[in-house]
Amino acid sequence: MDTVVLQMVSSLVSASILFLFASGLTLVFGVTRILNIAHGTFYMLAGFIAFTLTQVTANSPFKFWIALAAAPLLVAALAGLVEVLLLRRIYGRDVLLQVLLTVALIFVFGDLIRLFWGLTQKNVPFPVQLMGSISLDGMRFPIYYTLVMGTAVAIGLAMWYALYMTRWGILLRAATQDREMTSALGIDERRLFSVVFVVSCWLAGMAGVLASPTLSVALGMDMPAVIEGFAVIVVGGLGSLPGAVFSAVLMGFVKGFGILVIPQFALVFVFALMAVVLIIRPWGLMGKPEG
Amino acid sequence: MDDTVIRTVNLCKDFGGLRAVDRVNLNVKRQEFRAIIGPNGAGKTTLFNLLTGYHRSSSGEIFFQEHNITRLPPHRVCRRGISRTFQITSIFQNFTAFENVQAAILAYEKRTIDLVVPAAGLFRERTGHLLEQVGLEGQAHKLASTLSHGDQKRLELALALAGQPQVLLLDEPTAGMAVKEKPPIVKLVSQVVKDKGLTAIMIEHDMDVVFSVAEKITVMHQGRVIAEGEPQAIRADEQVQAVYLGGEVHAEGRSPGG
Amino acid sequence: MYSLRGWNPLAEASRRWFTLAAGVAVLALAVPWFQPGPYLLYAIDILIFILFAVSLNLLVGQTGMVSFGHAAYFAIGAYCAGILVVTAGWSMPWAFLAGPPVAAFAAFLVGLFCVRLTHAYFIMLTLAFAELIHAVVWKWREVTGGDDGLLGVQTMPPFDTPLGYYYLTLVSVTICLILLYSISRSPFGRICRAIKDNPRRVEFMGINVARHKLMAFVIAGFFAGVAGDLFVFFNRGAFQGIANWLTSAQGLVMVILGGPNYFAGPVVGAIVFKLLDSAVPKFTEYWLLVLGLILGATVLLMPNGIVGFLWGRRASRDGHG
Repeated sequence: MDTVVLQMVSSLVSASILFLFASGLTLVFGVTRILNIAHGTFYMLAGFIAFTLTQVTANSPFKFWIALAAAPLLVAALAGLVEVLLLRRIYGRDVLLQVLLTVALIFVFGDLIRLFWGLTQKNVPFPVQLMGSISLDGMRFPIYYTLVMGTAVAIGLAMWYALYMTRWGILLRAATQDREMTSALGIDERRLFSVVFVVSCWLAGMAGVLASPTLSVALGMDMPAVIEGFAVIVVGGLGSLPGAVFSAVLMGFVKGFGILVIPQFALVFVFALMAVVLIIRPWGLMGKPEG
Repeated sequence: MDDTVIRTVNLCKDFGGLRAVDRVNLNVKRQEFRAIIGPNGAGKTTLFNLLTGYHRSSSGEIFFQEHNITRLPPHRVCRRGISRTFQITSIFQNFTAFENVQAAILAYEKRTIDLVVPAAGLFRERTGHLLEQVGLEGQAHKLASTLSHGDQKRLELALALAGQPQVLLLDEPTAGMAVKEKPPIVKLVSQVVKDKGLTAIMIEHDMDVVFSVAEKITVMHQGRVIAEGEPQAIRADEQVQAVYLGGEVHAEGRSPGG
Repeated sequence: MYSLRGWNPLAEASRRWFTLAAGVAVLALAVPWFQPGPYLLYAIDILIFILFAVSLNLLVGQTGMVSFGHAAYFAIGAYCAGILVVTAGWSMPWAFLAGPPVAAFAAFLVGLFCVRLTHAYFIMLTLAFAELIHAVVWKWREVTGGDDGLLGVQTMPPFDTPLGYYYLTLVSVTICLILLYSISRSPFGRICRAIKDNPRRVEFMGINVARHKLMAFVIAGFFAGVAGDLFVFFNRGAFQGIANWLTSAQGLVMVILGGPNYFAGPVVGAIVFKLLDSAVPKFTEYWLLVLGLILGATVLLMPNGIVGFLWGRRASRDGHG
């Protein structure tokens, strides 16, 4: 029973990170129709930047918080540059070109990370204030978990509020549904795309920093992350935020309990879930059928 | 009712909460030229999509020569003998006109899994003949994307005819054309339909075009058929006039909403 | 009589192209005498990846299916043949023949899932399946050797020498390229290109688009399997890296570098990529950085690839297009 509870909590933590990561991915696709395969690279970059920030502010008790605040913003700023200089030129063009441009970003940023940080794994320290564990049902969990879950919930609620309760958000959702409507509604499409891309990379950055104390920040962590992210948004439905929530939780649990069953092959369960969902509903559980 | 080629029974299509097509009962006879008119959003194109299997009906049935084709996918419906053109011309932009038609013939002749024979040499006579029929023999070698709008419409007609259909569904064949460009196309359509003995169903907004070719008109509004009959009767119908914003259904120009 | 003149990148090969092809063929046959030793091995590697890239382009450039998991079928071909030799004791020719059909079957299974999906889902799913296959290849130590790789794949005379293997590869790849070329010119190839251009219209011409896409996927997988076969006997083994996303991505890079709209595109792309692959590391250890910049530049500035760029210039020079 203990293992189950442990796995449940651990699954929720996974789900929280997955949600932050996948929500950005699905948002970008929903609005710009671009599949940002480099999403994982922004996630990874945030981890490395967080590492450096915590090194630089090593003596401060707030080093983690500084990193948490700053790294995603820096990543988002970089994303903004990328969007304006590069992505803008391939909107609406051949899918192959869009995909390969994001692949180019993966290559370039990957090697730049190697250039600045080298090949060794980095460790981002837990926030001093949240060290230690709390007791629940006789089991001990790192207090840090509450930060992760709490942040995911808070950001999730903020996004829900923004998208469903504000005028801007409603317009954005309309834009996702019907592309022609954006100009009719007076939305500057270019600005919309930029904002969405920047926000989505910020989300990836948040996921990256929050995840970093629990795993080693290392080159190559971008691809497994983005593949998992793909699995989440495929199951949840491309462009659907509620789908991302539901699916992240589902995936978190599938992964968590899959590891108990076949440690090496937890991935298989994830894929099996993807396959089953796609057979039954080819546009994901909460997505919209195209065409 | 031997003579009925296309028949729908209480055909409905819902998109979420919106009923786009509402209990439509259509009966089109052999070699009839039927026009479907109505304001935007009346469900005309959705009706075409249902007839050709592009959308699955929410309820109701579709019969083609007394075969139930309700559940068939588009490629099966096409094979049965129903061809279609689209409001926004749907051709192969990166092929020449010749290659466009050739591809359509290859499809009809079921030569599409042939992996060996070079396609360029196949069915050249028939392709040429079809291009002549639509007046494109001089443009055969031109890339479809460089053809004029009117010529692209002709090309699309050729594609639809390549399958030797019995029923031709035309979705706004003169859409996007200047007034003086329309008569040749209309004449071509009418001639082709007559020569080949086709049954035609045409969605159109231009009343001039409608009244010049249609034998019978179906008027749709908000998914329902609100009137059906011969052109003169439709022109005089009060409900139809009301639907077109209270004005008369003029023959001189385009109807409102078009 | 209707002729196919006018700017059309897929038009009949002119005499110029035949001469070029003949020249290339002569050079290829003569390579062993001009460039013995390591360059011969290098040429074999290039030939293998030419086949890999051309098979991928059947999907990408011809049918408009951006597959991000092509390496999986390459790897399946390689590992299948290799395992048959190492574990089951098959001799090279039989193992060689077994690889591609198994790869094609795997492509069939994956394709069943994937071909009906729209672009984004297709990319993600082909990547996901490839990662699954990659994971299997990597973790199933007992069968595939896991991290250490599959070793000890025996070839047989006369193919156990570089010269012998070079001719085997040259002949195999040439035959496969001829087959793939003939497919691209066939009615099936035309329909594939039509599917890329306007799948809805193809559907409304009475063609089951999904079935044709599946066929293309399987054929592409088959030839990737052949390339994998050639790889495993060349290297006397295989390693898990050949199934990873990077290998698939490299295939796509080769396609775009050369030009997806031309049969010769991926051929040129594979050669250029491999040349860069060996030359760049001599100047810098940041090969991916350079590759990324080149890839980005190609996407933004030369999206039709090298062949597209050259052909376009010739077309305007000759007064066409």
